[in-house]
Amino acid sequence: MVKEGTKHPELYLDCVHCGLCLPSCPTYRVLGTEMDSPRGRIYLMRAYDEGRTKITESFVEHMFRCLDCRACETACPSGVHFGEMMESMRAEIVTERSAHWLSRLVLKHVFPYPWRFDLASRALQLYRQSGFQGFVRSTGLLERLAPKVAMAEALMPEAEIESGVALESFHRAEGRKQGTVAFFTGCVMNSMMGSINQASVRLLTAAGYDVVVPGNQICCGALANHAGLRDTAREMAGKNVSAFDAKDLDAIIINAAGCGAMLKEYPVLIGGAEGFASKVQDISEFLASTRIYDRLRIPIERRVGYDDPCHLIHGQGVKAQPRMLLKSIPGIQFVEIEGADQCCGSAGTYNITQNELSMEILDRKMISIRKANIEILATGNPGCMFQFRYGARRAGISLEVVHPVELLARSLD
Amino acid sequence: MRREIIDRLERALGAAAVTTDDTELLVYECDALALFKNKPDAVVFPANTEQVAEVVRIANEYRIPFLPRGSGTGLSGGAMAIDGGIIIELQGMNRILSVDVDNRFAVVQPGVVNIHISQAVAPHGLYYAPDPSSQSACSIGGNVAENAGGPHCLKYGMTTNHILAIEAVLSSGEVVRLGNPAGEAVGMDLLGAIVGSEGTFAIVTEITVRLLPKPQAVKTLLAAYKSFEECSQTVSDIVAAGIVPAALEFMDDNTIVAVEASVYRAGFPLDARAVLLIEVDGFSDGLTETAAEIIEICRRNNAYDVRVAKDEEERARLWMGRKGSFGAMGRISPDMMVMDAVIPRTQLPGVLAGIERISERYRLKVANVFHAGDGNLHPLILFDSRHQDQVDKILIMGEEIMRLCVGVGGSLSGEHGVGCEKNDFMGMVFTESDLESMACVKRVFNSSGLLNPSKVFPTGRGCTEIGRPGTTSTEEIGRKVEKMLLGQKQ
Ligand SMILES: Cc1cc2nc3c(=O)[nH]c(=O)nc-3n(C[C@H](O)[C@H](O)[C@H](O)COP(=O)(O)OP(=O)(O)OC[C@H]3O[C@@H](n4cnc5c(N)ncnc54)[C@H](O)[C@@H]3O)c2cc1C
Ligand code: SF4
Ligand code: SF4
Repeated sequence: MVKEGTKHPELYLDCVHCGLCLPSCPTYRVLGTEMDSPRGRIYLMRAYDEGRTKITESFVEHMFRCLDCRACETACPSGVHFGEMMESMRAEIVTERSAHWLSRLVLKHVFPYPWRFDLASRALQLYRQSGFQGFVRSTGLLERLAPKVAMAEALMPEAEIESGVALESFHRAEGRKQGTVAFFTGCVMNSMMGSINQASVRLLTAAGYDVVVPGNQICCGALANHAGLRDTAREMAGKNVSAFDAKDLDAIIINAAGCGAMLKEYPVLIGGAEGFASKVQDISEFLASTRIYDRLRIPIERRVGYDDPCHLIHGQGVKAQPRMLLKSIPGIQFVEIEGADQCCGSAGTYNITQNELSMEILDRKMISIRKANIEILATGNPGCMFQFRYGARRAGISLEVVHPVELLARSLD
Repeated sequence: MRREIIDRLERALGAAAVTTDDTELLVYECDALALFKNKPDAVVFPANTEQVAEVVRIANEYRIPFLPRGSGTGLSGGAMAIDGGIIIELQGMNRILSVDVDNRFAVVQPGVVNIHISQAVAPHGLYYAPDPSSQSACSIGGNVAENAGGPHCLKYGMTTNHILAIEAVLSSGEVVRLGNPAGEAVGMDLLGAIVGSEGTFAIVTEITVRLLPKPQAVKTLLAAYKSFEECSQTVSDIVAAGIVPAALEFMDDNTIVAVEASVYRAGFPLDARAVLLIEVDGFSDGLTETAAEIIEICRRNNAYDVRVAKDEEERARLWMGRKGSFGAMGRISPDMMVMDAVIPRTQLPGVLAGIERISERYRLKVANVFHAGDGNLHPLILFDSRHQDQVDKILIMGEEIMRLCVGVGGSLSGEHGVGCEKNDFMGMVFTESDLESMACVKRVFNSSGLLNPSKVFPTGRGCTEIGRPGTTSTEEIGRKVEKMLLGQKQ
């Protein structure tokens, strides 16, 4: 029963089939189908392992319809390690069914819709840096997509490239030095949303920390891992662990929730990553415990809401800190959004591969955003930020979408 | 299932609302009692009453069994397609249709999750009282079918006390409305017959529930004991003192360990043999005195620690811990079987000791967490379903525990229903003629017999023979286990 590659076989035994997780699951809430619920997915994984089902078309569909948002982990009294199980299941699917599922999904859901190429082309930039490239090439997909991508890019040239924080750089603490942290730049953050990284480093130095940015770091590997490309993810994890001298650091700071959750889970993928993982902290988690509050002096008199990225609240259990930080900005009117802990439907490349469902989830989200009547929405994950910007446009709401550090940095004296 | 029937269903509901895909059917082969399973031939997802009725008519035409399903949190196999056929999944009908604040009722569809009603009416200071531990997931339709209870039903009554009216589809496909939102309906109480009929009389498609104003004040106490006896005695003494707590819950050491190892850890004392979670509510006046009186009773029975939840947050945590306790068993065991029986409160100490003896004899752990105030026991047998001998053992253990409870004047089920788990035990408490008169009532509602067959009434075969070829009856399992145990002794 123990399968190769699955480090934790039979994790599904933790599930007692009680069903308490059902309403926490975004796909179940929209579809109302057991096979698209955490319990149903676990049931299928177990059935597969026990030889009661094969990896059929619909099996693959229900596994990949999962957002990997981990809301079920927060709800489960039995402590099911859902994310870990789902990732090894996907790895199994990818091995078993080679790469066909991806090409099929992309061909079916992206190819026919030019507007999706806006999203897809951004995603392809990601692929380039996330280890997908070789894989996608091997399916012959890139050749077929390339001309269309070029067209999409011509149509929508707004994917601005900002310069981020230079690798192999050093930034000195302001005032009395409190310690030293390393900064993990993340691939999207640094190439497409560079100002967020700049703001992060400014805040860290303002809080009294020297910031080192090691040069050998690469993409965290989360996208590869979620898609079931385990070996690629392992390789990337290994490179990152050796890029940081964890023992000399107070913390390794990351500002993208998805990457943070991944970095913290490296020990599941590879051996010897415990020291590294124990130092990883989300920027809000870290800043909340520093003296940064004294430096937030410039008032921002706006109505601001915060939406929990799944990989921060469910993946890392960080909920209070970002709220605490935002609320301490002078003049801010902080609004709690109904259902802030529920997924926005972005989930990495989900909005491309499962577009209809993703949009349904997003539309529900936008209803509560509209209700909250806010001017600015803060959320700490690039995928979610893209999704909300798109959602606001789609719903005709005027809304500024920012990373919490952008607001904090604006308030720095 | 024949293509012709599938076509008919798809025409009635749309292709997306019908599945006969093998992989998808697999997840519908059981409810929360995963031990018993059988795959349905189709699952349909109707969007309204008319579609439910149409499915029922089609099933009648082809003489196929059919049954309703809510969230599948049932613990007696009620939503399991024991004879195959069509599962009518009501999750898609999950809207709160209207709320009448002045007259304190809400009209909801059957797929609405229990707690969503309370959440929706909270801004008006109202709530829906019955609170099964599964309330964050179970559907109101399932609650009506099982006449669900919960910790706070001690004071406020079971589901049946809170249902004012329903719309339902009978087994013929006929749609009926029963009850009256304004209160007692004229004529016979047919509504009362349907509540608790475990999905065998009708499919409920709309429900009018009673709403209550939130109590002015609440106090929640946690008392820890070194023995079951002292803990049980406290329960009897509180009731004897004329106090009606809102809730009076018992949790033993095994349960505490599991809960404290889960995300719902609430600070239950790990060194206790058992704890009581006691809640009183009502007007603020006098509540402090009632709480003091309870604390005094606990102390008199040697509670070594009694504390009062200091704020709403601590209170919520304690309740989350209690309500998450079935699920938390996964922390200490791969599988569990939840039993449900009612006994006279005064018999608690003897029955708990009896259960412990049974547990030792079969070498399978039992955790006890239950509604002590109304004597509604929930022994949870912990086992590993990958070992067939353990599966065989729990079935016979379950039967022994039921006999023990019935023997002291108890009953087969407090709130989880009979389903296909305990239908063959019905003979323990009912005579042939009792059963025959019940069957007559069932025939009135379910004339074709196609609606959720082989449930509640004895069929002379356990669910087990369906799910697990090789074991045929509890009697035979009994013989096997006996042999096994004898074999071990030698
Ligand atoms: C962790 C846990 C804790 C629990 N705690 C409690 C508790 O404290 N108290 C309690 O009473 N129960 C409890 N239960 C049992 C269960 O949650 C209840 O029986 C609940 O009422 C079932 O609702 P459901 O929507 O899941 O129904 P399902 O399991 O889907 O169905 C249950 C039965 O109802 C029938 N049914 C479903 N919908 C309808 C409908 N619309 N019309 C007619 N029949 C229908 C089905 O055919 C089936 O026979 C618990 C279960 C779990 C897993
Ligand atoms: S809540 Fe946990 S134990 Fe219960 S069904 Fe969901 S995953 Fe399984
Ligand atoms: S990870 Fe999210 S989408 Fe996937 S099963 Fe869990 S709750 Fe549902």
